[in-house]
Amino acid sequence: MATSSLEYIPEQQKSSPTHISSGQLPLDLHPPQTVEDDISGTQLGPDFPYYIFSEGNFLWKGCVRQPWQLMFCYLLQHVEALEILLQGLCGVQRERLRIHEICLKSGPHLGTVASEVRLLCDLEQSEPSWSVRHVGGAMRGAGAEQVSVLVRSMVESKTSKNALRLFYALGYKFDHELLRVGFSFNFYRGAQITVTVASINKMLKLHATDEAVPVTLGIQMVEVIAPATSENYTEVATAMSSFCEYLAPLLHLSKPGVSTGVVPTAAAAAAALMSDGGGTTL
Amino acid sequence: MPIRCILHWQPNQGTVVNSQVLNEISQCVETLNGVKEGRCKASLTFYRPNLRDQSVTIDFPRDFLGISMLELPNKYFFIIRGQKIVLEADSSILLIMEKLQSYKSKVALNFEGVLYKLGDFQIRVIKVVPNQAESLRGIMVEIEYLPISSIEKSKQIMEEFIDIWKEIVAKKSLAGQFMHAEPNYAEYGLGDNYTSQHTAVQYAAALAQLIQSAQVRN
Repeated sequence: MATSSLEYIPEQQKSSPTHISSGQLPLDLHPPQTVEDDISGTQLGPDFPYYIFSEGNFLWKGCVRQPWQLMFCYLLQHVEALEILLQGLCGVQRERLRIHEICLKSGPHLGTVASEVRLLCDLEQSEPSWSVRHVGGAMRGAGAEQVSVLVRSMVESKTSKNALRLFYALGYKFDHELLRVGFSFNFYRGAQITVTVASINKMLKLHATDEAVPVTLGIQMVEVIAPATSENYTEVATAMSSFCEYLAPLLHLSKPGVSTGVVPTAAAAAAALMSDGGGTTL
Repeated sequence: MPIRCILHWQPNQGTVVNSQVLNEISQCVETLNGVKEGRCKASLTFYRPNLRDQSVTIDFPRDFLGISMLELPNKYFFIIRGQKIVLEADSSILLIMEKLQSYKSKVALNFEGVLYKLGDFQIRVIKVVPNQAESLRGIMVEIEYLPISSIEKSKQIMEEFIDIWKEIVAKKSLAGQFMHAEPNYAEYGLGDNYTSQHTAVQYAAALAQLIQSAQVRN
């Protein structure tokens, strides 16, 4: 499975007990339940939407019932530097992000295979708005090997507010939930790219978004997503990789299992960005 | 959006609905000087759970319905009548359901209608036909009052129009009558301001009535 993950390992964190050596495989944030057919076999039509992910930075897997596994640490201060860098690169205003994500899994007996669906509630709007999302397995095969990003199918639908009630009534069960708080940039640069930087928070009580605490203080996830079709995913992947190179002063792209190591100058780059508000050429 | 009321045709005991009744009803609209404006269509699909163990069907909703409307091509509606749930979604929700593979479509019905304009009102004369077949399963009439969106405010004028409509139909001495049973929108979490979700709920309710009266006759 081809994945690009943005590694963010400030030097200061190397000796921290939570820092695990970059030689280990990063775990997927959203382990797919089903694996999609090899896209090169074109099981699906040319307009079938795929989303290309470049996920990463702190890769943890689990839910409130499982222990968190942390891969890379990230100092909070670099978030601001990253924001300044992104602001300069994207040329658009950042959007604040506060998304409550509820993951539901099919109950026993339902479906010939187990299924998983995510409900997202955008809490940043004056009126919370809901959507339902299905994330498929990763693309496999020769096509997947050739791109440096993770290609997965993702289908999303906006809904009215009864989505949770409906899925419970259909036999889906609550699995876990989290709250993402941060910001995102949405812009066009060879592809329609969305960069999200957010902390992942867990709720101490069911659905209590006002009482969410970070999974680990200071840990942020940087996610770069672009929609694509089976016809153009290589071009979109190239556009994404090109864009991500601009983030190199602070972040590195890598395939899982292939270590790129620390960005040795990350702290210095961050400091430079912060000190003159982004006027520095990196 | 403007409010709508749906009336469903209840054939007399021992009779069935047929295309002649449909023609007579269309003529009633023309009697009111209704002008044909176009066509309309909605599709209703019954979904059943895809189960590994068939004995547990009782744990899953039997009245899970999906509705699409030609006038809203990017939207899809789900209804579970028993639990008074209505959901409006983008039509991409169908792709999600397909990927989940937890529910399968079992029966589909089409509501195919002719739209007539009558001053501030619009009437849709709708025939209920199974998907892939032409046999007439039911008739509905959808009355829309364009100036008002508030259900409460439009109650009186709607009731007056419905009374006039029923009188005109009665003169034809057809073997049946139009029935109007307004769903309790509040139970579905819907407000006084009319929306497409209200229409979806009405379609589901009218269909339930049609099915019930068909079962009673049989």
